[in-house]
Amino acid sequence: MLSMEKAGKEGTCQQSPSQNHWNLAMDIKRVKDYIYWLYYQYLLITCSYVLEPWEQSMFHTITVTVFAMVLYTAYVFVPIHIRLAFEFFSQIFGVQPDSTVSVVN
Amino acid sequence: CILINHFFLCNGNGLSSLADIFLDFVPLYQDFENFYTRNLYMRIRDNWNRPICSVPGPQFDLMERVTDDYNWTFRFTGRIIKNVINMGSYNYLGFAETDPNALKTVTKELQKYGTGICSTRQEMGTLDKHVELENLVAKFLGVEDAMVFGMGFATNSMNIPALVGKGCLILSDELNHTSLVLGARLSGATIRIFKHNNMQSLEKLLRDAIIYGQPRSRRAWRKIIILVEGIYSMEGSIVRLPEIVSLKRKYKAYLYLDEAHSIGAVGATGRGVVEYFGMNPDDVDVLMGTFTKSFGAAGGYIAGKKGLVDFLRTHSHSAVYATSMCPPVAEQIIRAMKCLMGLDGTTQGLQRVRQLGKNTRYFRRRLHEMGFIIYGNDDSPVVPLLLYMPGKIGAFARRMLEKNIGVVVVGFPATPITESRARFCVSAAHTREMLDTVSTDVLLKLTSDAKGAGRSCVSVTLNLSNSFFTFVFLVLSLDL
Repeated sequence: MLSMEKAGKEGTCQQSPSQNHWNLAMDIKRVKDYIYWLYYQYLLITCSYVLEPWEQSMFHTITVTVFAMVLYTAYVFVPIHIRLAFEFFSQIFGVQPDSTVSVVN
Repeated sequence: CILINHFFLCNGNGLSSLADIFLDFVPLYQDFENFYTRNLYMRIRDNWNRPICSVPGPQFDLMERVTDDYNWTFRFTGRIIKNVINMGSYNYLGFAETDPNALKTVTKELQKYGTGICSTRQEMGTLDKHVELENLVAKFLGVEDAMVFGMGFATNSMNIPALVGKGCLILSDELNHTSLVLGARLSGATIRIFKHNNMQSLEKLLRDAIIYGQPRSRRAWRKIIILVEGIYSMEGSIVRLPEIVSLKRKYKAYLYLDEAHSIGAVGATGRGVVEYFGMNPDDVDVLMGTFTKSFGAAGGYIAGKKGLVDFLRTHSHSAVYATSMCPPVAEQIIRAMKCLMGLDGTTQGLQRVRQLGKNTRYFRRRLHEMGFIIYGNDDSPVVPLLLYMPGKIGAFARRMLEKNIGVVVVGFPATPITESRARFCVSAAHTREMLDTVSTDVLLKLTSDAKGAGRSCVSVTLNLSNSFFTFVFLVLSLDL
């Protein structure tokens, strides 16, 4: 099966333009199948594969909610923390701190 | 307050009277095994206890079972799934067969003796077939005498109590089979566990035992016996026999070797781990084995010096109380053993052993090339494939059954909960095509996308980068 696939991939490079629509459909199908495979791996790793459908919905809701909250917190707080950390470490390594003293004439 | 009382009082031994009063309350304390059983095992329970309806040869027939309420109850649809490739039965040499030519002598003995014995060994259950079988087993293994029992599990659990008692020390491997553990516990001796196949751990235990003696009285131990197995059924690892024998000689201990999975399966002529390492059978004090795995029958044997076997004939619980082996089964073992030893005039036995070796090496190499994690020695026909997550057990077994392959998957009580595995048992009766189907199917299922997910019948690329480059190629070719 693998060798057939590889031959198919090289074969598609020399297709005539009229068959490109078919190749595009096949590729979209492949991407969709890959996403489904990722979902299946997620089900297996979290052991929610064994749950009944209503339990799965509950588990997915909770997981997605927690994940969304984590993303939002990261979006709000991570740039600020990175900037503070950068200033702290540059202070340690001998670079002069940004001086707030200005020459007043 | 009542519940708290219940919790404190019913811990440990429990007060049954109080427990009766509180029948309406769910008990607060139920151990992990119950929790695991209720919540995980029930959901994937359809992968075990599958009834088969043919001989467990290289292919077999399964009865189809469906469940309407998520595995709490099952019903049979009446259909039979035919020709499922059998990777779960312990059929190492392929003697589980229904070929009438092969079973000629067994049919004859069945017609002569019938099926039942209706007695124990000591009363009236010793047939001439048993004497013939015992002499044959002794000749096969190269020892003085042997005794056969009706059931392999009972051989271990009923004979270890006869050999050791209070005041003796049992050093048993971490991963020993339940029959050995049960026999050791029933005997009343002190049990100490050493790490799996670890000679330093064993030597340390032996030294401590001899230096310090029994726990309180500091007397010398009456007997020190080491319990090991030839091939461990959940790991596929082979015992380190030469080192254990040298340790046993140095510290004057006894050795009990359980060759359940290794008799007939390893060794140049199928005589077990003793031959595999090229050692003398006299080095091992008690040789035990079963006929269930390589000989296509049922039962077990204990072999060794004549004095030992004569002692067991009078003092073993199994000999006194359990019925003896039934005659057609004894005849099946006799014909299988004669075939192995070459006494029936053909080289079929040796061919089977060689075929098993070839199949084992080929299968292990294929699975290793595909990148799966396999435990065990390269020569052992037991191939555990690690699945780690408990959720994957159910998925794996169901997918394999859809592809017409029957496997045994093992989960929590038999293995640690995070090390679940699927155990393949290679057989001499498997053809190269069957092994190819299994390994290629396993490859496709577990590493490809859509076919593994079961959604479409088109096999998808193996990783994202491949399809990305294909997409780029397509776009470029569009431009051209």
